[in-house]
Amino acid sequence: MAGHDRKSVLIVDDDEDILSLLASILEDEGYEVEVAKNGREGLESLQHEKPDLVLLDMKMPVMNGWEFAKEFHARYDSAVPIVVITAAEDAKKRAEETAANGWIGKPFDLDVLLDTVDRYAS
Amino acid sequence: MAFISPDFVMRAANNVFADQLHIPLDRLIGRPAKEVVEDWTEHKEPFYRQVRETGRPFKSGAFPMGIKGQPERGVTYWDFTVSPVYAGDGSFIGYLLISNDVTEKKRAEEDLARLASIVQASDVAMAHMTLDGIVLDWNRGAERFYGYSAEEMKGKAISILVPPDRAGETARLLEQVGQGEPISHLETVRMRKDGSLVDVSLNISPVMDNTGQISSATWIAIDITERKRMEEKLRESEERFRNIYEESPIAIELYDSRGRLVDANKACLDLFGVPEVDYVRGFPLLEDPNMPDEAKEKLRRGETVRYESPFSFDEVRKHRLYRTAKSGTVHLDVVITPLDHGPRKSLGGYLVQVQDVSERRKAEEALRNARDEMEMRVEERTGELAQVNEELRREIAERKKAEQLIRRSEARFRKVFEEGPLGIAIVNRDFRFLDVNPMFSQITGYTKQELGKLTFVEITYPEDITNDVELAQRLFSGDLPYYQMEKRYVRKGGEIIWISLLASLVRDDDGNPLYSLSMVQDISERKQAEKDHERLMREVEDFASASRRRARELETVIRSLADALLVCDKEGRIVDLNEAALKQAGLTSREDVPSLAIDYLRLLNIRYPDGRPVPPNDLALTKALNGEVVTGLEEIARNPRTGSDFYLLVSSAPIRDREGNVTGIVEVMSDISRLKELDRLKDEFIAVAAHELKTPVTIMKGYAQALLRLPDAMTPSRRKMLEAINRGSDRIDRIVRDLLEISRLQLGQLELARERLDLADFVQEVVSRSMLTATKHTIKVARAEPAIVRADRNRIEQVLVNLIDNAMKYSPGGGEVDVAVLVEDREAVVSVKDYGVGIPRDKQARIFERFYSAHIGTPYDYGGPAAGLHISREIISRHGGRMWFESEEGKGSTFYFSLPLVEGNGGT
Repeated sequence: MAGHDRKSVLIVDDDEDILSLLASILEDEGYEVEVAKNGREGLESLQHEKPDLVLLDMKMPVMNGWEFAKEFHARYDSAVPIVVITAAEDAKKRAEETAANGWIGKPFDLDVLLDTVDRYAS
Repeated sequence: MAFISPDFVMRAANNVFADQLHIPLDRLIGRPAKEVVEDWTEHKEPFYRQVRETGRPFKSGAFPMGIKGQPERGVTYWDFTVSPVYAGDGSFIGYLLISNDVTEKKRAEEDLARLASIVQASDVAMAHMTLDGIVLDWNRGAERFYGYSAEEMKGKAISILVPPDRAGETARLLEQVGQGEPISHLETVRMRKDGSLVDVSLNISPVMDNTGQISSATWIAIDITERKRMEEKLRESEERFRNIYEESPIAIELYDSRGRLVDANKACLDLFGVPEVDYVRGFPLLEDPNMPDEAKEKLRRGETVRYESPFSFDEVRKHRLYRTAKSGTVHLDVVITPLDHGPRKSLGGYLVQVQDVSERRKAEEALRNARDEMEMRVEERTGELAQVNEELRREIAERKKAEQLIRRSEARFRKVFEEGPLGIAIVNRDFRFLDVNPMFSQITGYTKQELGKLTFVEITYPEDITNDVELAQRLFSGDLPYYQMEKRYVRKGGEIIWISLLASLVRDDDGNPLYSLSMVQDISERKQAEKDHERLMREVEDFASASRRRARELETVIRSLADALLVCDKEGRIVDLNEAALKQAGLTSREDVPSLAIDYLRLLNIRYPDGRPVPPNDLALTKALNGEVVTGLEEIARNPRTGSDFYLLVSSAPIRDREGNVTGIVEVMSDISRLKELDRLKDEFIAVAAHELKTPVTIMKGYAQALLRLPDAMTPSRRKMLEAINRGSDRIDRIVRDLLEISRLQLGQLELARERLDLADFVQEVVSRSMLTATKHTIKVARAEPAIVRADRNRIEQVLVNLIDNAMKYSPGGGEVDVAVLVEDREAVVSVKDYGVGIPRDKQARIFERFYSAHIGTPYDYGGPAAGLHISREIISRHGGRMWFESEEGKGSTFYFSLPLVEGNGGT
């Protein structure tokens, strides 16, 4: 199946519009997209299937990005690369705090988003 | 308090300032100082220039100053302090003037000094003493009077002047004065240094101190020895004169100047057989038919006459001269002394002494008869004759003695009259001056002739007439034997003088009032001294009460001040502090306040805003004690009671005396925690709001870009719309980032990731990147040597990009932007120069302010929060560097920033 060749991305963000935006862009680029509205939903999703990349927002209700990353690393070590996508000024610092592989600042340039996702999902 | 701009225009002032100048506040603001103050440019401006040049405040003493348009105020005196005022960037923006009108105080001081010198130099003996009689001041008059010098008397007891028989008198007097009862004109006796006794009239008045308590006394002594002696002498003389007159066995008659008999004594009336003097009053001396013509001639020439002649009562009857009970002829010995020669012409008349010598004549006749007729019986009659002879001799001797007595008394009386220090006037029942002595003329300023035409009423001060006339009438009516009063004369020429008057009545033989003898002493000087003294006391009191009032006002201000206030002496001991100062240090009572201000501050655990403790030498208190004025120092303190921190804004200033020595300090500490908290809340709000804006911007920008990636479905006009949305999103993003940056700066959350950096290389690199987007400008870089600094690459790039963006933005016509990196002594300096619109001079002072745009409302207003320069300067200052600029409107601007070089720079 073609589905097996397609890279998959799990997007964790509490803002539905952001989820839709990212999902539609990445789907248009040929990615298989799973979405979760907070850390807990993200972890639940991971129990069914491991994506090639996790795009992680930081500030979320129920379970935030830091808690998600901590739990994720505890369960799966570094099986899946994580890229934080945050409105925080210092996105790089957020990445260091969560032991994430990369970072994207909000708002982002489309080219930067696609380059970064492509780089870490491969 | 007023604020004056560098070009000496009154820019701001408070009401107190306007009130003291007597100029309404709205007419003061905006006016050049030279239109308000006389001689501003020549005499006042130099002080201001000096303040600006030295950067040090100028403090005047009481400084004379004329206010324009207020000539009626004359020269006023002002105590003022001029301090320079600087903007946040250190640029000079004007002068703070704190002034106080001290004219009243100055004048009061001058008056006091003048009065004090008058008192000191006064001939009247004056002293100032404690209520225990310890002498504090002793003037020249007192030195002369008592023979003790001021040095000898100061600190000594006044009681050494009291003669032993009056011991304890001063203590009693001072006790009375201490109860607020002044002593006036107390006549007593004092002892001089040489032991001689002196009659004095004392005036002692209480002096109140600042609290209204009677604490001391002033004392004036007037020498009345002479007056007493004169009074005594006159009294004696007059008494003796009267005694002799009344009791004399010799007949005495007094005639006035016209030769009319005015009085005769008892012996005289007996001699002439007249029952009462009224029967003979008015008898004309010169028409006495019994007086030889030769004697009359002599009298007219003013000579003394003596004659013996027979006196016929029959003649008296024949001429109906007066009624007499006698008849026949007697032999009289008459001595007539004119009293009307010389200067006493108008005193009246003649003194006539008459003696009946009929017995002697008889004896002489008998002797003659015996010799003539009865020689033989001589022997027989010898015994008889001897007896008669003896009688005769005795009579002659007695007569001579009496005559001598009268002459002596009269001479003495005359001497007193002519040369005495008292003015003497003889006033008749019509109040006319019959005679006056030279001293009386001297006192009144009128000659004797002039006074002869006047009544005493005419030379008496109007207010004193009623009283004096009433007393004089009672005197003449026999109601009073004498009276004494203090009154005023109007001298010839109008001068008003005070005199002391003693008027006594002179009666005739029958006790009928003749005239009054007035003795007058000029007491103007004493009165003046009393008035001066009163005025001095009043002024001292006024001055003291003004001071007390001012102190009370000040105290009220201090007590009610919301800010903590501390006043210390020059050793740093707390002299006063207000309730707020007690409260902020967690103290409940003044007894708990440490005596040293530094211990008080220790209670507060004073720290810098970053938490470092403030070393004692850097405390505002210490600086003020060293003469420095400290304003607006921000510190953190801890309330020891609640344990909570609060922000303080501390100002401290030295208090100086007239010579400029620091005598203490005053420190004001304002709790600005609430302000600080509001500021923090605001920054926090901005941070949250900015962050929340980012999500919608991400969505807008994301979709715009996503749509732009679908080339097939896109018309050129739709593409433009989407591109505009994309740009708009970017702009919102930039604004949000600036706001976040600023709030982070304010909250102290800006963190620097510093690394070793060659600033010259780095600047080159950043400029190269900027060149890629520059379309109309050429950016040149001038660099010479490596400039090694430790800096946050991203932050420095942010600063540089901001400066280059501004340079291009504000030279819209394009052209060159020159960037240079210079290595100076200890720092690297980067400059960015453009040739654009420049910054108007009046806006230059504010361009580093948050959200301040010099170009707002101009064609160069590009919107946005205008926070770039503020952020840039903060970044540079956190690196330990400085940022500044030069700019001229229409010619362009150059912005500089410096960063400290790493040690050993240049060697590598």
